[in-house]
Amino acid sequence: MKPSDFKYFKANSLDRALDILNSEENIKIIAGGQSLVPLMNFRLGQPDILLDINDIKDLNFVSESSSSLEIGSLLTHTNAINSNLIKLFFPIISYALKYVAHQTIRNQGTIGGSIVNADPSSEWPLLISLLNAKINVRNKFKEREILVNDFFDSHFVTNIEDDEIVISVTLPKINKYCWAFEEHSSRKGDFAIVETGVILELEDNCETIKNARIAIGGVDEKIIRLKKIEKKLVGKNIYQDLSIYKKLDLFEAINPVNDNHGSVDYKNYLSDSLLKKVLKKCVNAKVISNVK
Amino acid sequence: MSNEIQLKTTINGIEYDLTVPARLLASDFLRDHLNLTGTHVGCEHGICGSCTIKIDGLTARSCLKFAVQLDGKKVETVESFKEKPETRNILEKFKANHSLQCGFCTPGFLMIIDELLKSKIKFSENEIREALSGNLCRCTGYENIVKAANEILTHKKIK
Repeated sequence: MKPSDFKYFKANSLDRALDILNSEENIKIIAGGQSLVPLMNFRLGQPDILLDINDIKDLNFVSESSSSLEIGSLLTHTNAINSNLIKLFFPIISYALKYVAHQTIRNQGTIGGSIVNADPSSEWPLLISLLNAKINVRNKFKEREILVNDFFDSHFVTNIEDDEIVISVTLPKINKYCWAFEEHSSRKGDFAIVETGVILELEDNCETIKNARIAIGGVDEKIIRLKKIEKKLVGKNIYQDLSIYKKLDLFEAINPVNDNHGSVDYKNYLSDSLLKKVLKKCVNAKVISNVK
Repeated sequence: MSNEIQLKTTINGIEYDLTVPARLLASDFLRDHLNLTGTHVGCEHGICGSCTIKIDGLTARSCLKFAVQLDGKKVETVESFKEKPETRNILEKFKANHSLQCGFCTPGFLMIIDELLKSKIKFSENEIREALSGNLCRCTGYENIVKAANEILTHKKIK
């Protein structure tokens, strides 16, 4: 239960960190370390070099533009929950992040770490899928933007290259929408068995659904957007019963596996009941309408 | 870049300047190098909460931090509790409510309660239970721990 030997380097600037990533091999970047260090303690991860980016102040911010919020990759879950900008535009984030483990873990864990860890049952990956995020990554030579659809590859695998660092996540603002998020775990703070979130963008009348987004996690190798159900919700009135959808549209889209948390049947059942719950909850939620 | 790193850190008000292996966990550093054995090591992968310390005022699992990451930080461990009246009060409430049996998990619970006490929020009993749920007690003496936490936190003054 002790990590293997490694060399440690603390970068005090982004350029320095990118230099190291460019010139060395078998490096792991450490931010909050709340998923990485357990893996190192179990020796499932044995990097030659540990690159500590916690001192790069440029990566720890929340900023607003007319069309989006940008969140620096080093923002901790605790700071995200307490951010007034996030609360104003995306209260779903402040709400869902309270499901992340426990306070002590939330104090240290970061958005960047959470999304590159790409655990299909954790909260940030689901949130950025739901919010159509763009992930800004950089290597020594260039910066590029990855759409969230192209970001996650599989369990714990993303499409970031070894020499790249996540700089920030851009979340396009949404005008007039309601939201809901629910997850189920065996104990408070455990990984979700199933988690699901919904955002319904509304027409000016605040009743007709202009665009629906539904994301579900824990039931496939990555976060799944339920496109078929999303499409069928467009044009409906939110005061109709939205929880009537074709179950097949849900079960065909997800691919849960039998494990010690439950059987495939149980996870299908849970997905269906959580989805009904969020769709009902969403309709009764306050409409967020603060984009000028 | 090396596997031996110089470390300057302040722990319970005392400054240390040492060279440590990069792979040394903060929990082992406190216990084996500084003899601060109040921080307990339970699961060593961030689940049990027994090794909870405070780094720059925020709780952290010391088994999920490397000693080198304490460089330039102000660290508090459970050993600091006897020095200040507000933390001494936490100890007394634990004693009065029989909030420990074997005492293994106690340092972690004390640290998280201290963090809750210093936050500017008032907590309901449910919220207190939720906040304490990140720490495990294998004697399962949770009732008395919650009782002490309630006494400490419901009487706290919000500045």
